[in-house]
Amino acid sequence: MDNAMGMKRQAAAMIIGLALLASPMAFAKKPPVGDQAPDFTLNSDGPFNLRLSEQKGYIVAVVFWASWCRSCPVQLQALEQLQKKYQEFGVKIWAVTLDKKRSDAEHYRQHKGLDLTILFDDQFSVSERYDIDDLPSSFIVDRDGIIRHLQDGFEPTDVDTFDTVLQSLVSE
Amino acid sequence: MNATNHKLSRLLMALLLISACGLSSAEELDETMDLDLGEDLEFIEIDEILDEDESAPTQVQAAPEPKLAAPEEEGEFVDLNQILYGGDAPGDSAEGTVAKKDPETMQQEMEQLKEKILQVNRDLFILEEDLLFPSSTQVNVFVSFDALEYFQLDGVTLKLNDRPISNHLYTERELKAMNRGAVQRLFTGNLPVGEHELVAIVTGIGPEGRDYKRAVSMAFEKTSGTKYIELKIEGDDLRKQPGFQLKQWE
Repeated sequence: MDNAMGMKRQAAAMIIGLALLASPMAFAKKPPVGDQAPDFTLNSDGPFNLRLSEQKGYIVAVVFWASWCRSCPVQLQALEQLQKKYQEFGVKIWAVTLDKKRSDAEHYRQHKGLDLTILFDDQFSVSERYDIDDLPSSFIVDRDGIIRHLQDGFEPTDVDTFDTVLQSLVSE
Repeated sequence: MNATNHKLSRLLMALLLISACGLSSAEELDETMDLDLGEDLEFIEIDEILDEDESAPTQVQAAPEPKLAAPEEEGEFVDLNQILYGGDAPGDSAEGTVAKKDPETMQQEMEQLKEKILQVNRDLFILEEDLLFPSSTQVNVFVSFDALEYFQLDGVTLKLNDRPISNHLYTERELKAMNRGAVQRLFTGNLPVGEHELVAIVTGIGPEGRDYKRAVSMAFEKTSGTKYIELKIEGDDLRKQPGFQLKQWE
C-alpha cells in the first residue's frame, strides 16, 4: 500500500517536473547580442505608444528600472547625460519601468527631475521576454534593430562602457 | 543400231555426269554457304574484338559520338572557372561583364530581381495563409477608424469566447495611417462551425482629453465560409462621442 502511494507520488513529481520544463517560462532566454531585438509596443508618458521596430534608423538604449530600485537612479542619471550628448546623432534612451502603478514612476521622475522617455511595462510582458532578472538592466539596439550591448546590473564604471558603445555605434 | 546404242549410251553417260556434277556443285554451294556464314560470324567476332581494342581504328570510333565525348574528357582538366564563368578566365569574365553591362542595365536587372522576390514573397504569404487558415475555418477581425475629432485610439483587446486573442497598442504611425482611411487586420484565426461570441475592448482618449474605455460584443455564427468581422470606430456628431460597432461581412 505504502509502495503504491510512493509510486504515485514519484509519478506526480515527474509529471510536475516535466510540465515545468515544458512551460514557456522554462524556455525564456535573454536574447543574445547580435540577434534582432524582439519587438514590443508599450504605453509611454508621451502622447503616443512606442514600438521598438518603428525606431529603425535610430540607436535605442533601453533600460529597465523601478521606483523602488535603489541602484537605478545612478544609471538613469548617467543615461540622461548620454542622451544629451548623443541626441543629435539619433540616440534615444527609453526607460522601461516595472512599477505596477504608473503614478509611482511619474512621481519618481518628477522627484529626480529626469528627462527621459518613460515606458510602462506594468504587465511585465517585455521584461519577461527579455528575461530581466536584475534591476537596472539594459540593452542597446543599433540602427538596424540588432542588439549590440546587454548589461545586467549597473556599476559606476559601466557609464564609460555605455559611452564607448554609443560612440562606436554613432560613428558606424 | 550399234551406233545409235552407242550414241544413246554416251548421252546417258553425259547426263549422268552432268547430274553428278550438278549435285556436287550444289553440295559445294551449300558448303560454301556454310563456310560463308561461318566466316561472317568470325568476322563479326573480330570486329567486336577490334571495337574493344582502342588503338584499332573502327567504324564505332569514327562515329561522331566519341568525337563529341572527347572534349568532355578533356573538360576534366579544364579550369572550373571555364564552366562557372562561361569559358573565360574569372578576371577576364568579370572585366568583360563590367565592360559589357553598364550601370543602368545592372540597375534594371536589380529591379527585376527585386520584383521577382516580392512576387515570390507574396505567393509564399498566400500559401502560408491558405495552409494555416483554411477558408472553411478562417475568421478575420478588422478595425476601421473615423472618429478623429472625438477619440484618440490607444489600444484594442479582442476576446473570443471569453479568451483573449489579441491585444494591440497603436503607435503614432498606425494612427496616422488609420486616420487616412487604412483598415487594419487585427486578428486572423480558425474557428469551428457554430455559435461564438466576440468582445472588443477599446481604450483611448475621449472628448476633453479623458481616458476612455468601451467594450462591444457580438454573437455570431461561424458557417463553412470565411468570416469577416469589422470593428467600426466612428464619430457621432450628435452626441459628440465616438461610437463602436461590430459588423459582420460575408
